[in-house]
Amino acid sequence: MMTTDYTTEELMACAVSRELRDGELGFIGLGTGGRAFIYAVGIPSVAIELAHHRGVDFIAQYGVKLEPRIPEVPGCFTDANLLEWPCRAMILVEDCLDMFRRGMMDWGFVSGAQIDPYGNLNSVCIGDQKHPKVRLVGAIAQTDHCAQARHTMIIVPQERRVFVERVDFISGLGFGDGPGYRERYQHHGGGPGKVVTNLAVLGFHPQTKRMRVQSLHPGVTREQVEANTGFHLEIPDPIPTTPPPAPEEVELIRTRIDPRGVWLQAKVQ
Amino acid sequence: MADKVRSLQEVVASIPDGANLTFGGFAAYFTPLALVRELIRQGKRELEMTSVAECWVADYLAGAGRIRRVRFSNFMFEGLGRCQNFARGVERGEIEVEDYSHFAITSRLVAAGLGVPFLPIKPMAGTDLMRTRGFEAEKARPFACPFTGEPVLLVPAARPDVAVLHVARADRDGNSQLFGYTAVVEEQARAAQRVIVTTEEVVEDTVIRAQPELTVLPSFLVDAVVEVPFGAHPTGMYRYYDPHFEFMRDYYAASRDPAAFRAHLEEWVLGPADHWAYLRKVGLRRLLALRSDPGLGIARMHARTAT
Repeated sequence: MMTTDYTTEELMACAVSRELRDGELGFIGLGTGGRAFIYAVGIPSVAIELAHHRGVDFIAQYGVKLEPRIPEVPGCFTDANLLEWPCRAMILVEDCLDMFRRGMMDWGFVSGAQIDPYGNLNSVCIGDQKHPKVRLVGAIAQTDHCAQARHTMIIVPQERRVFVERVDFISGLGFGDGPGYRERYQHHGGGPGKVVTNLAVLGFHPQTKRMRVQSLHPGVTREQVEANTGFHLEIPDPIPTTPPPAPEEVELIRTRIDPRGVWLQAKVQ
Repeated sequence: MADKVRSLQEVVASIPDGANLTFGGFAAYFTPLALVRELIRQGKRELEMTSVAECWVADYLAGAGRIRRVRFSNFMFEGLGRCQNFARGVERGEIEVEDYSHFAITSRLVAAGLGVPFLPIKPMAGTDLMRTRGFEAEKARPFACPFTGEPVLLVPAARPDVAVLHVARADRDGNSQLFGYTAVVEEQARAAQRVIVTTEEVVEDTVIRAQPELTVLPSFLVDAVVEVPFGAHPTGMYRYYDPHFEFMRDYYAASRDPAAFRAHLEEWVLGPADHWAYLRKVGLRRLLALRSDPGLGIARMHARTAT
């Protein structure tokens, strides 16, 4: 029995959640507002809590806070509220860095303003770095996650200005220009794992390293995906459909995990 | 015990034009903005920043046209968006930037603090962060580990001229305590050639001795201490006052337009003669409302939006 009573963000959270495994460790930043917050922070958080409800012991680290209680996220991100948000450890900043350096981080949840067919990300600039048309926020720790997390989970809106043939600046390394690129630098991390968008779940071809559609969300057409992607995407035939959230999952999100809409509607002060 | 207490005017006068500065503060907290406003009032110019994420400092100085070069990881206003003045300065070619990943710029500061000339790191290799030149030389140099042959990047130590860090309380000798997040202030203090601490309050030595575990900067790292209550306003200071969100939203709206921001600077930075005149302008009623409730740790007016 299919339900259509779910939002795209709820569907995306469920899709991300299915990729998470017992005992894995993931890192989430806490930044920006609006849609950028929902994509980079909210969706992974709800995904992790859904996994917890399935009995998957996924360990989440938010900056220096280890395993805060996701449903108890403060509605106002003041230092005081964040400091008092119940968690299991306040990790030293050096240790956050070291966990990446030692290859202990399974998933880095990342986003960006542009992504190319090889999963390279840009959060630095539109146009030339020295004389940009639009100066963006900067590399942040995106570069570090992309180099050193075992996989990255990339959560971005599927639009032509985001999905481009070449990003204007590679700040987060995907597969570079294709097979063998990452290996030259012997990065500990494996690179892009999955890309979850408002239209589809995408993966990467094991040989060519190019992005390809894994499944389209219910009701989304091939034409719609092509119209919103600035490069050629391999789409399987027949096209699998992303499983919609089960009614129990939607219920969980709305009543237990995110009742105040902090995560999926960015209702943060 | 040395007496390092100085006036705001005096320490700012000691910072030359063109100085390479690193500032404390993270997101909407503990940013030394009283000192930044005094830098602008005293006409300091052609400044350089070595930053991790000090968004408020960068945006104020950019909006006043006082920075020339920035080495940094990212600037964004949480809940608001990218820093408009800073972005406009870069887009117009007025500010030169050297982009780093968070760990790379932090590693440059850590190297200086350890007293070593460089540190090997892994990230940035293979990205365009390595294809853009640095101001002085290469930002990082690819190198093969002499023991295993593993490819690494060597990042040079960064030694800013001055670190300006805002703390909760300090004694006259400079032993400084912070109650909330500390971000990278320890790394910045160890890396910089001179450290200026601005503090909410100068306290007796006995207060510091009662809770030595809160001391993040021991006196030997600190060169000057400046007492500036509400010195982080409009950002907050954990256990002292909350961020002034309305002020921040007004600032952000003004920063979208150069003329509007000019007016904001005139009104709030260049107009008031000093920090006390600035606080008088913000107003006692507002400052008192922002004050943390000792029991709650935050202002009562924000308590209802918390969990």
